[in-house]
Amino acid sequence: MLHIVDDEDVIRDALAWLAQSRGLAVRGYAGGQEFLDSVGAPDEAGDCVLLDVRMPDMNGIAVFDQIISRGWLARMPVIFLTGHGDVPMAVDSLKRGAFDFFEKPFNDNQLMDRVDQALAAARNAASAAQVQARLATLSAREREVLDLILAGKMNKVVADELGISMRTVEVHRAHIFDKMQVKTAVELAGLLK
Amino acid sequence: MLATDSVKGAPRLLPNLLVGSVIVLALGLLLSLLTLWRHISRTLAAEAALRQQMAFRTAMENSLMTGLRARDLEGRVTYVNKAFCEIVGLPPEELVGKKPPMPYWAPEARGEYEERFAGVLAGTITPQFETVFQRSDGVRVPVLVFEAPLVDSRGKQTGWMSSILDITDRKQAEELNRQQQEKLEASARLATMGEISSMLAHELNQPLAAISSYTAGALNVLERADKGVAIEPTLLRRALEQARQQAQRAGQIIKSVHEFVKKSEPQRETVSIHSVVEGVRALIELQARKSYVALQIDLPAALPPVLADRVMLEQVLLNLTRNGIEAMAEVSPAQRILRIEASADATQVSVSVIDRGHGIAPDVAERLFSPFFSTKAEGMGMGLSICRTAVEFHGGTLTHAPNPGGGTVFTFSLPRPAPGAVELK
Repeated sequence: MLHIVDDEDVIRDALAWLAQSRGLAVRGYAGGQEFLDSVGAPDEAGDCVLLDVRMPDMNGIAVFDQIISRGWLARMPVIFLTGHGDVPMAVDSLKRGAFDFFEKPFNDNQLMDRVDQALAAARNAASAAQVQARLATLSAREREVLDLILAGKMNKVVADELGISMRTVEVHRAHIFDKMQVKTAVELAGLLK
Repeated sequence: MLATDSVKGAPRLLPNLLVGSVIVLALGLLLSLLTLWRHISRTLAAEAALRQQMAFRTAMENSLMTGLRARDLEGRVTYVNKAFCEIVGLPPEELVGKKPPMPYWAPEARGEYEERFAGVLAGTITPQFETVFQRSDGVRVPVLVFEAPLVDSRGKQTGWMSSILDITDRKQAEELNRQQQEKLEASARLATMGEISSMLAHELNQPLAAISSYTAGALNVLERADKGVAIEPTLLRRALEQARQQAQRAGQIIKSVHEFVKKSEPQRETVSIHSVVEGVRALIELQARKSYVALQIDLPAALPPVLADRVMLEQVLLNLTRNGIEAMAEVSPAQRILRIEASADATQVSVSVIDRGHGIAPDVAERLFSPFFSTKAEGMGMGLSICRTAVEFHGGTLTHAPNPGGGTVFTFSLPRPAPGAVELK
């Protein structure tokens, strides 16, 4: 989902059309507060925020500060849209973790290419977070078994090394696959590489 | 027999008279002694009072910040006070008894002094005027002079008394004030231009950015159509319709700026050259005096009015006179004369600003009216370029020619309105 935060209706509408023409899902917000109040649960396709710097009431920087302090930055990269003369501020925001900034007038499809990359980054960040969450549900013994599986060892070797029965290893292995939501060891290795 | 013959002799006149006259004389002597004594004491008192008054007056004159100068009927200085000596930087011995030319006359203003002194000799005086004195160290001191006839006890005029005020501080304040005003006006103009362009940029950016996004999106849709994705005509039509509307909005913005510029265009009215010159005369004089330039204004009494923006004409005149004054910075003070002349013929009214400065070299003349060209260290190079634009705006011309006596003549000519087409406001 591409979130477009800009006080200019026309700009919002035009950017939404542009994003839709490239097959992206879009939602527009007329102000920073509206965005902060109504942004929903993370999108599986990833989230990205196009944030106008100069807005009445709450400017883009203040919105950015909120995104950081709410811990949203990893799952929704921010791309700033700046007017002429805002470049030093934009550079500063890059240092603080903004994904990119575009100075108006910008090249539309270059902007959309960066949006695509930002969405991909968001998806990666989201899946990494998900893997970490799944790993956290494993017990200590399951972690030991997991490490040995990832090292490519057979059930028998695992059982010998840990001094437990093959049957117990098989049960742990089933639990691990279950908790990590994978079906094969190859898939598991891919998730954790 | 004792016979007493009491004879009352007749009084002896002579002795009696003698006694009487002795008494009278003695009395008279006493009286005259008394009178003499009273006279002497009165004289002493009067002298003391006079001395006291003299001391008082001297103290007063010396404490005055105002210079005092008395002259007899021939213009010979008979008295100066301390303040006057300080203004001109000379001791009283070098002033009292002197006849014009005075040691404190500035060479460049000599004509002015002589003209005025001729008036003094003829018995006519200017009660109040501003002039410049040259102090003994060469520094010019702007002064304000008040003059009044000096009359003796019998009511006969014996000369003139002048009081002289050093107005250097006031002049500096005036000058500072004027410079401030100029800076203010210049920055206000720049601010307005900056504001307009920044507003314009912002206002135009929005519709242009929107048009760009709508059309880029439309192209994306067509590209996808090439790859076999079905086109949704409603969506595409809406985007293109939006782009068209934004293009019109941009046009509207440009139109409104045009209207704004049109509104701030100069206002033409019927103005007389006399009133234009009078309008900036004080400023020109101020500048001229600062640079020790004598200003001569020679306008024919009858000049047809022109249709023009008064402020623009004043600016042109100020610019030309400033250039003229600055061009004479290097020439000798006696030569520093700036003339403003005007003339009219059947088709146009011309005003010339004539300096006796360094003139204009041929290579400079070629680029004289180009923007950002300047021969001055601090020049912006906009003055003459703007002047010419302003004059041409009025359908006139701005030309320059060498002054036969050295220096340059700048002339702007404005078309003469058809007779009866204008009435002077």
